[in-house]
Amino acid sequence: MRNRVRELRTAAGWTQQQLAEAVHVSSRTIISLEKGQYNPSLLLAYRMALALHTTMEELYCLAENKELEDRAYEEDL
Amino acid sequence: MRKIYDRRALAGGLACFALAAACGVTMAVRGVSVKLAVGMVLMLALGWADLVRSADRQMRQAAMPDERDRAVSRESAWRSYQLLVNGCLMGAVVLMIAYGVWRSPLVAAAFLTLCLVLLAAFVILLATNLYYEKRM
Repeated sequence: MRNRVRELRTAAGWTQQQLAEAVHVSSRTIISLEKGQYNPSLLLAYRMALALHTTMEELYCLAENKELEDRAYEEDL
Repeated sequence: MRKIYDRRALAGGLACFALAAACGVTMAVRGVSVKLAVGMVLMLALGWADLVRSADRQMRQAAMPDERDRAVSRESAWRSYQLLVNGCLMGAVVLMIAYGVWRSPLVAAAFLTLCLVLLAAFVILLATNLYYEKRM
């Protein structure tokens, strides 16, 4: 899933380690999230949005990801 | 008095000390034995390490898996189960063919053992699926 974690984290001037500590996960989790390899739980997504002073919709590009998933679903049918 | 962060480690440490004490008492009653002495030293070392770990906040935090660790663990467990079952299935097919060619009772026994492993794996998977179907 595409997200803007790296963009918003660097804009806030945080390191991956600092963000990881703020949301109680390991820095490896933040690295995976930024690469789009791992999708967070609802609670972690909310925690990260709060830590980066944004909304979950913004942070995880929910509208765009929904669009992509809908298109993939339509193509599969 | 230091704060305890990991009660399980504390219990483990105390259990190790109890086993070390049991080794010591046994040696006192029956005489010195190398096995018991080594066991006692190992239990004391393990118990001490567990007690230190139980009171260390950073070690406790480092040992706690986060949600990605749990997801990795789930995924790798499922993948290894599939590999095991598929490996057994392939082995069973090969053994079945081998039995058809050589008619050896040893091959038949190996084939039946693999079939039983596959059956057990299926029953366990079915039971755990039923358990989680009701709880998730």
